[in-house]
Amino acid sequence: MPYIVSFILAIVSYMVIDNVILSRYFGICSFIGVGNKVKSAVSMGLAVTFVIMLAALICWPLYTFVLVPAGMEYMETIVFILVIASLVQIVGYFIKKTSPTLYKNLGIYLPLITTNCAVLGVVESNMAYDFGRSMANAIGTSLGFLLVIFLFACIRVRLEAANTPKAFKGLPIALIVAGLMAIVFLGIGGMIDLSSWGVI
Amino acid sequence: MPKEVAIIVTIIVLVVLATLFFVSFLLYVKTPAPKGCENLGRDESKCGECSETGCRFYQTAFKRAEEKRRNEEKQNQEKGDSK
Repeated sequence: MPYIVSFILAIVSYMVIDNVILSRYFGICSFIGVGNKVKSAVSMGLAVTFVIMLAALICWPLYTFVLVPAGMEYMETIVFILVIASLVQIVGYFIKKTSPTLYKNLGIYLPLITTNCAVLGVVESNMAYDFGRSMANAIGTSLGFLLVIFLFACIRVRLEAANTPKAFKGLPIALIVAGLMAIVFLGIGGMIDLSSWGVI
Repeated sequence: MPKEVAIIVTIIVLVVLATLFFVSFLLYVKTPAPKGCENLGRDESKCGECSETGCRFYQTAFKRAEEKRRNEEKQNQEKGDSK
């Protein structure tokens, strides 16, 4: 199978089948907390997408060419945390300087992304892969995060207008919806079998 | 790589990353927010009634709406009594 096809299939796999929120249970705090308005959900999703891709691009070479040769694999967690935190600050600085519109839409979410375990989780899992697969993981994971948080926000906006029992309004019904979405995505995993296609 | 060199490389990498973090943090904090973005937090006075009972503004907005409703009922009652 051509490399580009397996790369795209890997992205689809990480985006839908092995979804970061609904299968791997990363980034649930921002998923529940921000996913009640479509605009804020999309803004958060885009910000996380950008940070995940940049973090993966920086951390994989740092791990492979600095930490491993020095025998410092045990330092990966603290090194990645420092890299991600610095990256978020630098991104925030450039957004503040160059684009007030972008800052108005994304600025409030940047401190939340620093502590988002989805970013650290993706970067940590990339260490077992080669560069191509790690980038497919980063792209697929971030697009999967964006997709799920957008879908969740759309459902919650509709639920606000629905006749939900008082005891279930707000967080309880949101958690039930999240559980149902996880079951749906579990079903998608059974429909597509990538192992026989020799995905990277 | 010899153990001593590995320890030195470890310390150098950590110091470099910590310095990078502090410098980027200072740059971010010292840079003023663009015009119109000074207060990006949620404005409590603009919150309406919603179903987000977990939100800390919900209780305040709910109490405010309840008080307004009671005041309106009281005023309507007083108008009815005066007629």
